[in-house]
Amino acid sequence: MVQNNWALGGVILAMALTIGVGVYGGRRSKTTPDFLVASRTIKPHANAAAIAGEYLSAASFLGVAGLVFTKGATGLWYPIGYAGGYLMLLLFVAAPLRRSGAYTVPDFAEARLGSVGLRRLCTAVVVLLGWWYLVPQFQGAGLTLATFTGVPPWLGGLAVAITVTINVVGGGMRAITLVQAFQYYLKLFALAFPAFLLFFVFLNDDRAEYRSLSEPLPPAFARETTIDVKTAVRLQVSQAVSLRAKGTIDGAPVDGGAFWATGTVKSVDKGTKLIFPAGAPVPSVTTAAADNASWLRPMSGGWPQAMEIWSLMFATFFGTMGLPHVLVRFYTNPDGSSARTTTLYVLVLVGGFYLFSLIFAGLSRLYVPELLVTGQDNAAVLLLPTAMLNNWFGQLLAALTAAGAFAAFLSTSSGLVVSVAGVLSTDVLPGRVRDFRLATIFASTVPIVCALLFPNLGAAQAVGLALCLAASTFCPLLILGIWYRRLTPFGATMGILTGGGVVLGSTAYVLLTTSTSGWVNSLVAQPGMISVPLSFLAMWFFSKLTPRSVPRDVAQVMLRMHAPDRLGFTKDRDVQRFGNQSQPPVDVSKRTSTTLSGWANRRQRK
Amino acid sequence: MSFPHGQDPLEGTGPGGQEHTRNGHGGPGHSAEEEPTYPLRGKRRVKVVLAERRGARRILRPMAQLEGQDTGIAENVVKELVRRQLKIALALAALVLALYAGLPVLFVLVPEIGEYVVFGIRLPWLLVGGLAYPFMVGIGAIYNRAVDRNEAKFANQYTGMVED
Repeated sequence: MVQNNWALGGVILAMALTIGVGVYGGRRSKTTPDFLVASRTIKPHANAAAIAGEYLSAASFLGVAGLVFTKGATGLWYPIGYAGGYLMLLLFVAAPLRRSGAYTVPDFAEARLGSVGLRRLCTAVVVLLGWWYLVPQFQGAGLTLATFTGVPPWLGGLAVAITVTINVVGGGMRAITLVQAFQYYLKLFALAFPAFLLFFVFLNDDRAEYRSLSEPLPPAFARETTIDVKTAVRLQVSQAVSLRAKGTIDGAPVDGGAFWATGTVKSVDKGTKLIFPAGAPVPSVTTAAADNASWLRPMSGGWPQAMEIWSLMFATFFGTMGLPHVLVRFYTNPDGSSARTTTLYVLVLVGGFYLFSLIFAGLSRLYVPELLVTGQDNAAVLLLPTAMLNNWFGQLLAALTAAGAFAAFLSTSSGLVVSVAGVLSTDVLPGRVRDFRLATIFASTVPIVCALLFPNLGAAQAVGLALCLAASTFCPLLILGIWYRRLTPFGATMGILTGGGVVLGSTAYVLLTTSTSGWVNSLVAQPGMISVPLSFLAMWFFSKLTPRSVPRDVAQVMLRMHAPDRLGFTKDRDVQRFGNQSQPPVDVSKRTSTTLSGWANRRQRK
Repeated sequence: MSFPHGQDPLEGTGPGGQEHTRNGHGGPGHSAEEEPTYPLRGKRRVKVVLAERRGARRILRPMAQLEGQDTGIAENVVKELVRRQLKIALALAALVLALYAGLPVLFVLVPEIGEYVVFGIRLPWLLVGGLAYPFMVGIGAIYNRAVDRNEAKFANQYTGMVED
């Protein structure tokens, strides 16, 4: 197929550009602070583009359009949650975190609470979170590439892993900053340009068979459509439809004509072929809004849907600030108030991006309704251009969106790899540049091996639970660490263990049980509403129990975190520990003279 | 002053009492070099600082003072600042959360609201899909201005405190 080559070309181009930009951006990376935090020299506009580039993962580039396409107005809360996480980050974390002078989350924990044990625990959580997030990124890249180019699924993930490793090994945070900023604009262009053109195509499209989006009827097939069901689905039939089918429906083999009555739910097995005539109403997966009127109206599912939205907002508003790859970008700001400016720019960039996703969602409802049958709503962005423009130009646009999707996988993975490598190299290894490179290779090898070995691990749910884990561990640590002066190391440790334990426990429950209904299950699937408050409570309670171990320098640390930048309280702990001169990474004698942390020195001499 | 014995070219002129001459000569010379620059530097910082971006590199005298003996004062002043900053953050967060967690309730209880059309767009799509983003940016901007004002106040209070 022609489209395959175009899309593959787009992906390869995106990959080549990424490596090129990374090599250019990382050419002056020499010291440990360069690799860890780009020596804290990134200005707000560039940093905001990099943060937005990293944050707009495939879940945003493909997922937001897909969610609004299936869920309609209710789906609008998902991007609100994604953007709102940054608002919470701005309000509670951005400037004080930067002013603390920390270079990783574990380092923040030690800077604030002076406990090496807590630092170790945080290291473990960062690595766990990073890998938990990386596996679905690699899997998603593989699946996406496979669905529209026909290459085997392992190839896409491997390509992303290798590209990211090359960039991070070569230039660390300096390289990744430029790469992510570049990828934000690539993604924006890859979404905005087709959205704009396709909208004009829609305005000039006077074919009558497309149903208005406000009718209380399901979308309709514009032409005779053949659907190969690749994973088993449950379909709700909101308007009776006649079709031809070959395969297994409701457990019985079918070959030939079939009639599905209004209001029935059909289980269609893997490998079934469905052929709908032109003009037939579209049955949809049970998670989607079945007819257009309920698609247009928010909360058409009543209270259960409202509950779903609340737990989503809980996870995203509090989880975003706990994600290590999000936090690692905030250390790169020159000072606290530029961290705030950066976050404000991020809100503009991310919000603007989501508006184009909505155009894709609406048009997909009209032009690719067959995705409602297969439930592959994430493919909407990739398939819409060719569905609307069946010529070389549509294929060019499809190649562009494919390149954008791949950029999304690349940028998010690079942020994750940098954050995991930064923590591994400074907490497990002595933190020389050589160690950072070694840690990078390790940090990307483990998840890609996992992704290749367990291709059927539930990727979509994994991301939601990882966000929950971040919300129940690092979010309370940061918020209480920044605003509550009586926090103690023991309290923080217990809070992380409690919140993390609840999330891990419910994850195990989800993986081990098969039932998917009932409110217990829905609560376990989204444990944030319980685990986050529990973690806050545990931190407070166990801090109250151990009032004597409130760190002695708490007043100074609070002053450092909250005093205006121009008073000059901030001490960059990376510079203190590793020095900031370009020097050969193996020259220990020089570095010890610039290193103030005795603990670090002892480790280096070993 | 770490000149090796008798190697300093300036010292050679002294006939005797080398130790004394070096001290007598080097002492004023030292202060003549350092004394005028120190207060000048301090003043320059206080004035230009708002425009400076590289906060991390500067080491100010106030820091040494407050981080050393004066922590008692600092503690109280900073407590006040932290309380004010937290109040702003909590108020704005509560506003945003109440709005976006409250809208679903409204839409469940009064579904007809979802059917209103404003400027050719359904109300929920306009509110949640479109205006939400400028709204959040606006909240962020309000926050940044408010905390900056608090910080400026703190800085003035503080520099006054240090200079007294």
